[in-house]
Amino acid sequence: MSYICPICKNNDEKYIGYFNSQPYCRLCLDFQGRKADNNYQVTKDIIFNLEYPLSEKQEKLSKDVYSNLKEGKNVLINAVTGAGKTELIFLSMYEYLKRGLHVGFATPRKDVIIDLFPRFQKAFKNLTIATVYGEHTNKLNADIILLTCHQLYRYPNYFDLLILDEVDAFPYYNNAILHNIFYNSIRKNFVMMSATIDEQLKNEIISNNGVILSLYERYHGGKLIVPKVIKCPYCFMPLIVINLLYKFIKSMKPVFIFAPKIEDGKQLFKLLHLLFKNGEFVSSKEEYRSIFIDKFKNKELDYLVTTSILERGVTVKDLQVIVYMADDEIYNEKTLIQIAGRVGRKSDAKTGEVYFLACEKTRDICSCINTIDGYNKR
Amino acid sequence: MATIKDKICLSCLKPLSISPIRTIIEKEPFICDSCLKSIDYALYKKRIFNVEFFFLYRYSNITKRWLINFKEKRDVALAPAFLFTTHTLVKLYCFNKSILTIPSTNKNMERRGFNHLKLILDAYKINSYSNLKKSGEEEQKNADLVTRKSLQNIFSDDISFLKNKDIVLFDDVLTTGTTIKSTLNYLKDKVKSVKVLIMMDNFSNLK
Repeated sequence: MSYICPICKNNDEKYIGYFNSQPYCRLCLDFQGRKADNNYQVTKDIIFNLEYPLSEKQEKLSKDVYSNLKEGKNVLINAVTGAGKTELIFLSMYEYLKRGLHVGFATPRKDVIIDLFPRFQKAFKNLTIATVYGEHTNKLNADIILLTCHQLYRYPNYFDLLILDEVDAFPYYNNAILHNIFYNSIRKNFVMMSATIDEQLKNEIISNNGVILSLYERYHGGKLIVPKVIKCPYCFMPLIVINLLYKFIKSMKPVFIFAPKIEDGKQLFKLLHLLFKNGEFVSSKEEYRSIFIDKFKNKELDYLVTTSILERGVTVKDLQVIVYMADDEIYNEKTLIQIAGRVGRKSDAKTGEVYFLACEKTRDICSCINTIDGYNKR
Repeated sequence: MATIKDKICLSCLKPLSISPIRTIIEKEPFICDSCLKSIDYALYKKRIFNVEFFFLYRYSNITKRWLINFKEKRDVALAPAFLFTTHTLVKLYCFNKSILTIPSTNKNMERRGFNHLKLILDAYKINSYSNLKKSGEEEQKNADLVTRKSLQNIFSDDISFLKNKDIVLFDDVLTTGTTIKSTLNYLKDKVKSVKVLIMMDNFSNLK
């Protein structure tokens, strides 16, 4: 009988090595390490407290999610950016935790975990919450586990309810190993969530005894912000960024400036920093980015030049967005929708502006605008 | 560029893509062109501790990743990758000499479960001796100061057969050089001559 990797289910001989005549999977080398204790006892007496009440539509969807899970079905939540997806699954989490079951919340990006942690802490005040990502792996067991997809291998057959947020985000999406590790860690049910689902995800959920539940309205009832496109040659783009940034800083509004690649971002930041001192550049390579993001949220910084690392999961009050070189091939429809979705997320700051600076209006820019328009009309 | 059907690169695990000339020259290629291009060669000699050191690669890029995966993640399948382009050079450098591998502590050997240096050399049928041993922290703790100093961390079963022989010490990375220095001290007067062959130079990075 051929060897099947217990972690990623690989059985292709090409990826199997032999150590002392024992087979091992060469695809899973990064997924070796301490595992969580499967017998961990969850606190059943829960103080569940939502900071603000759910909207009528959120309430309905939240109940629909749980009733489907109760029937043994899995769920794919398709909800627009700023719909309050995280709060939608709190009811289901509460119900599972009450029964002493294991609940986890996974996402492909560690920044999202860091950003969500305080929200979970406020909602489940008396429960222990472990955040597991990168080098942050000291505590593996807790009542609720917030973790990146890369850490799911530590929880084989562990979760009675596993929520996977931003299911279509890099590096999870289309990664067969992470995909297998995700399914390997589920004991009962799962919920997937995203604002930008596609046919592939729809088919996946249907073939996994699942249903799709949609929400096309933001939790505060406000419209999604439709991006404005400024067409100009690349050489003038920095001038337009300077102009827009000046306008936003003058009106005391925080700004994200998205750049397609790290090098583009660095160069743009170098220029902007000559005129606007109070900003920073963040990318996946920036070790201290969480410090800069915290500073930005605390209004200690006026602007952040960033790569697509902050396209998802980050909520900042009154945020404005500029996408530099929006016609770059790195920006597909999904990415642009997610980026535009950073604006107008708070109930006391429902509006804002999103600018796409592009040499030409690409198909992705057009379909992003059409999709957002379509959501607003529903 | 030719992609060889059903074969993957040993290093990047992607389909094996190599130049047509390599398909003619190599019997069984197993590393793709792109991985080979990212090897950062050193290929220089230096005198350190009054001894000749020969470095094959710099401790960076792909070779550094190989070593981490090989030693720490126990991906033993990578053993042939290290000397893939340099085994002939190693054979020439060590011609008529005996190769002694630099020892790891027992604790590290047990954790790893294999002698990584021997495995690398064995992949190209290069004979080597692994008679040297290195005491771990526990062993040193039990020794008094004088013994510890005399031990210099390195000891061996029996290397009298190496007397009057030219020796090449073989190690994976040179960082601080402490182990090599102790080994050189230990071998003093026990062998005819000593040279050192290091796969990756991290020593220059620290300087």
